Amino acid sequence: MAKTPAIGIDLGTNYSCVAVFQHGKVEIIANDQGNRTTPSYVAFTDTERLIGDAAKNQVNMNPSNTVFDAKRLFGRRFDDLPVQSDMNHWPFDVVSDSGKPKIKVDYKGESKYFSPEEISAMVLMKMKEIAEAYLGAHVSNAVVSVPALYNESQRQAIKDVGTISGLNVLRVISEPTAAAFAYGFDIRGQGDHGERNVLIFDLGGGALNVSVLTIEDCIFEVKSMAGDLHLGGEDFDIRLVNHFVREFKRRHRKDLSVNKRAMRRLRTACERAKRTLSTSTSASVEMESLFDGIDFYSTITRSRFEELNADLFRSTLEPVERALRDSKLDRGQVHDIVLVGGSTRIPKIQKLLQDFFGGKQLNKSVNPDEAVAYGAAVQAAILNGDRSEAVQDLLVLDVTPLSLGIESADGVMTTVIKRNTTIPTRQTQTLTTDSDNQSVVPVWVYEGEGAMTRDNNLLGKFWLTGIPPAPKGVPQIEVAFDVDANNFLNVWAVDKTGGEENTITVANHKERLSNAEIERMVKEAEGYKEDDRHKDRMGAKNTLSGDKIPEEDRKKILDKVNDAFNWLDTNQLREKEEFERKKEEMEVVCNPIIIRLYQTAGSAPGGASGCGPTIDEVN
Amino acid sequence: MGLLEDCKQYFGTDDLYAVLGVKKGAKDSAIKSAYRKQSLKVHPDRADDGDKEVAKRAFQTLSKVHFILSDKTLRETYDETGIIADEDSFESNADWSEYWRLLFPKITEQDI
Repeated sequence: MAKTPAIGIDLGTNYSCVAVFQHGKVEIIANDQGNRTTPSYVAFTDTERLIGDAAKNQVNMNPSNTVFDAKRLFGRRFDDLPVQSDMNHWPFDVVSDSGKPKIKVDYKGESKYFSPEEISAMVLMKMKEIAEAYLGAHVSNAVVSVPALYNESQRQAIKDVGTISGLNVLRVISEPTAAAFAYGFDIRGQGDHGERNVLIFDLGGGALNVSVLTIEDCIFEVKSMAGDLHLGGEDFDIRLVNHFVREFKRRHRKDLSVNKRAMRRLRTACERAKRTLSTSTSASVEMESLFDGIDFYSTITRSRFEELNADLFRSTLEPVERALRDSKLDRGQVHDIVLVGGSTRIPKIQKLLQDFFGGKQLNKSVNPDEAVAYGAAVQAAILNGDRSEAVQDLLVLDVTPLSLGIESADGVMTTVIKRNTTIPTRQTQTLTTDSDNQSVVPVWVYEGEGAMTRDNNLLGKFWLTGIPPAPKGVPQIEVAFDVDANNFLNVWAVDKTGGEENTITVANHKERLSNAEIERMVKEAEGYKEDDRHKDRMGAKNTLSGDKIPEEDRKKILDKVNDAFNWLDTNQLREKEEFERKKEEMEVVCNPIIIRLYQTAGSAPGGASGCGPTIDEVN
Repeated sequence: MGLLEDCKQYFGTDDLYAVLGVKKGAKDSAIKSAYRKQSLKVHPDRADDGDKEVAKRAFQTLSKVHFILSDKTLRETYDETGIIADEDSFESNADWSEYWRLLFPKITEQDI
């Protein structure tokens, strides 16, 4: 039991969360601000780098150097349509570095370019540090969650992110699967040992994930996954922002979208309004001097918000249908519908989903913000070799999110492994030649659901050479696809007649970072850490000197406290009012000193109850 | 690398039912449960570091056995002849209406 526990990290588009399984239960770890989720924000200033709450808190002052949404850039090319449309809404600059998107910021007065992987690695590192501070030990292993529909290169990118941040990623787990773990952990031991079909509906900040599972005893068999990588709370925010930009234009004949800072402030306000609308029927947006010195006050009703997003809300049902179809279950066979992700708080979305299932009650028993990290922590414990009672017979049977196949004649996709096949899996396919005496056969490996390979994503290619001359259609070439438990693919081809063999591990392709790049990033990441350490030292020094209580004040407090004690010793049986008067007397002396102390230390106290304890002694 | 040889190597038997530990006439639900119980034993996630590769192959074999025994036609063929239909024939089980949709996707307003 000397092993440090492995942690589970939900690296979200907007917020990240870290959890650990130990002593038979899962604990969500709060960060240094006491928050159980940490914003996935990284900010750069003239003097320092900020991550998490500190970065998000200053976003309105420093919009162009505060990076968020980095996850949306994962495994993408600069020219990809979603990247281009997202860029219009980001206050920071994204540039193309030979086709790969890079984020440009000013750091310590210099222009710096970061890949989305590097930014996410900074967030991951922060999550690791939060866990280390809590556990009091070095953490090296983690399970990190990703959206269900992440493809091979995006999953690889997460592994790379782990490497950069000094973590060994034991497993890249799909978000809804992790959430299912959390749910299954919850319902276990309720005496129900039958088979349950569960649909997980996970709508977060950036992506929608739907998965259908069958839970029997402690075995979670994923039946199907579907989703939309580009649909979430951020999109609803953007609709709201556009609405208010239009309103501003109408009222003041001015286009505030040219001003990054105004746009960022508006976006923050819209995010807040959206949250309010989940519990009240209207929300107000109030911003002084938003643009050109004009104050902006407006309100929005819940029904207007629903109208603005009607098509987006409706489109959340499409993956639900697809997942059900793939799982070969119909709506009536689903026992539980579990909501996960912050955006499932939106009443309209709940209503649509409920109507879709014929008015069935939705299950809100898991914490929507923490479920994914919770499940990831359970999986981390299993993979780390934890054999404690709570996890000893837990197992998740995951599936491939996308179909895998090869290109056959005329660009047709021949599927070798269908999507939603339980992994690990291994399938073979026999190919042959198209022309007489052909000696080389190309093997191009694709993933995706398109009937033609041009609609799918090329994972890698190789050629099987040295095929003995023969008429077309005679040689038999066996292509084997092997997917391991991590959803990583290996392909090899054998000429059955001649014995020529060729293998590739589909890992190094265009979107992925090269090993040299990763190495450089690891080194740089350590450099940034050094900066942070210096900052921490300075910070600690400041607090320490701030905490020094001037000698005269110390004497004043001590005198008063001793005084009170003496009084208490001799007056045990006084009335309530007298005790209270004594307390007030003491507070008059102590509170100003305590408040001054907190102010110099930089954080304000919650309330001025600094001297209560002496009165408590009475009880 | 036939399936039966794999069964022999990883489960010490070339009877598909014995791999799952059920009788020949077992119900579908019994086969499903047996598959899950067996996967708990052989899944690589539960194996020690050194045994991952073997566990992976064993699990791949197990799921293929499950695939055959949970498919009505494949199971009948196996019951009657003891032969496992050629591995390539997995394709022929594909859902043709789905394949049709794949070739001719629904036209949306956006496409027009």
